[in-house]
Amino acid sequence: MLPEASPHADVRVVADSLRAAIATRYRESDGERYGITAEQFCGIVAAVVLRYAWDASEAEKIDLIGTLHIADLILSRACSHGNEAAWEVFLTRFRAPLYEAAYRITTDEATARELADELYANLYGFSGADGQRRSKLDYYMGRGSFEGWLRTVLSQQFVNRYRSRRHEVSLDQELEAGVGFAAPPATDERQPNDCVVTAVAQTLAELSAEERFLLTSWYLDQRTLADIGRQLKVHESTISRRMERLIGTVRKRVRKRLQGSGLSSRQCDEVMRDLDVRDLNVNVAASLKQETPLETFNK
Amino acid sequence: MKENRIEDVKQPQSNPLIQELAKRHRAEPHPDENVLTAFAEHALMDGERETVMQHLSTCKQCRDVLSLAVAAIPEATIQEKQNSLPVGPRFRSYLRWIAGAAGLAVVSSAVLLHERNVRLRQHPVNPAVNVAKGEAVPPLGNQPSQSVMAPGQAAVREQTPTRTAKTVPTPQQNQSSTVASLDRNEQKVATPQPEAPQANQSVVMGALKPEVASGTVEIHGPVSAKANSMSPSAFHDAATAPALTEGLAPGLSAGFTGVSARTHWRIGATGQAERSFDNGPWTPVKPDATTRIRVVSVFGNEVWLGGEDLRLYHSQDDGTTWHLVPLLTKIRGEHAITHIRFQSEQAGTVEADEGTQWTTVDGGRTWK
Repeated sequence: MLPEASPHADVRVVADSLRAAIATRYRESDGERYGITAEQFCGIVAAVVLRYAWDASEAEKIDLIGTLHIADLILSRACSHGNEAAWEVFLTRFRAPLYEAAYRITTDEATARELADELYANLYGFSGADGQRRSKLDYYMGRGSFEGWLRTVLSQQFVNRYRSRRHEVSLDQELEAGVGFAAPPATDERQPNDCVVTAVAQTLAELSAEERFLLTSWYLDQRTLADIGRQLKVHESTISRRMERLIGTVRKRVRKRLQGSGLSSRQCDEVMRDLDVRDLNVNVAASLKQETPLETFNK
Repeated sequence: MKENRIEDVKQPQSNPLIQELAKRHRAEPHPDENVLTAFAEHALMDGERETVMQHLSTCKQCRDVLSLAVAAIPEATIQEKQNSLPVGPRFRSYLRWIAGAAGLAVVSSAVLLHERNVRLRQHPVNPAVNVAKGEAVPPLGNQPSQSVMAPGQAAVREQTPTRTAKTVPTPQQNQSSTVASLDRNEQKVATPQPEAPQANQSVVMGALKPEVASGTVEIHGPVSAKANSMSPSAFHDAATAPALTEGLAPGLSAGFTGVSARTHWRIGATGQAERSFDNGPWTPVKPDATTRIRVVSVFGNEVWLGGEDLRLYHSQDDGTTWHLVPLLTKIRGEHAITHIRFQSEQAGTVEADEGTQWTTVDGGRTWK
């Protein structure tokens, strides 16, 4: 269970070796410019280490400290403390990119503005559960870039908003728009053979997390190869090659398991035709058992 | 792999692969925005990445957040990241070859430059300037092809614009920082160096300016009043040859002998050789309290002083200790050593004012 997120930690719990690493990073930063003292900085970084590497080795903790985006972290905390110079820098650097990111996420100008304004309000400050004023900026921990974090927060906000409003669709509007409603699946629809289900389940269990991620992104989420490539920071053609190899591997292993369970070669061919994973267009309404919306957001 | 995902053919709902992929296997806490951002930027530790990937493979909500966040990255940033080192196992294997080729290129360049320097040393250009009667010793800079400047300064002037021009901005940089660094480097070059030689017109980098590659610097002092009735004139000093190696790649400087500190030499008003370390105070060097020195020549740690009465002094430790070099001569009258030129530590020529020359090929042990 991860420790609760907190903007600051008690510096007394920080080991001397970590203090030295933190002090080095402070010297590289412009914390003094924004009124962040070395002690405050130590507390901020200690909170990050406590949150993400509480059970890691000392070397890993020092590595983590070395990878933090210190300049962004200082800026965010200075803004959170109300430092005007910091806010000036923040608005200069991030105001326009924030609105642009919101537009790319929502593809609608009005919704984008609403989303960005909502985030700005949270960044300026909101009342916490204990009645104290908190800023969303306190939750930026410097693991990734500040701009990247802002994009992720916007995305999370959008997903939460969509999930909370998906039941608020007007039926009349939907009908007028010509939206059809899918009929429930036929009850006599052929169900997969148990041995096929078992073979597929066992094959998928052998795959690595990344391979499962590729398959779910491709088949369940209907992402494009370019989208998946951007998420994994590899080229689209690399994803294409990986997918082809992966699908070939899945087919071979499933077939081998089916043959091992007693199916003849001809029977395997018939079964594999039903399991043809090369040309799939999935209606996730019935097959998804996760409690997630039917549609993806990046149409 | 075709990209056109939307097709009219619908698979039966019973597709076991889709059903299996869609199953929730275990409930794990969602990674927070910091972790998702770090995942998207490849900034997670290895163990963390595996855990997050495991979660993403089973959680559509987090996959959607990640997909949206990545889709919101500006195109310019994506292009910069694609131009930087990509992450991919195939490219990683290419990296080894690229690194090896780059290393080979560096070593080959170093060897070629060294050989070129050796050839140039064997056919040097004389940087010496003879003292004109009654005139101040001109800075070597008046002869642009032979001038000497503070090597560090030279190195900065020659190398920095190229380095800066070749800088590829990383996603963390932007054009303004590259331009700013250009400005900063130009300002650094413009700052005058204290105690540096007057000349600042050419570069003492053997690879770039072949005519100044001998490594020998010859300094002349005033002609004595007894010989030519001249008044003492201005002097100049120059950094010793070892300092000329500053700014060169380490492999190149290995061909030169020298001390790490920059030593400057000059001939004082009284005809004494004087030495300064790293722009410190000038201190007289007195191999012989009575002889007036007329010429100083330096090659690495080897320092030669030529003076009146055909006195030739040699130091092998940058002027700390000296010994008198006997030169056999049939010259009559009072003459002085006025020229000393060494092409290497071993081979050099000494010349008197009336033209007699002595040559050594064994570092001054024997002379012809």
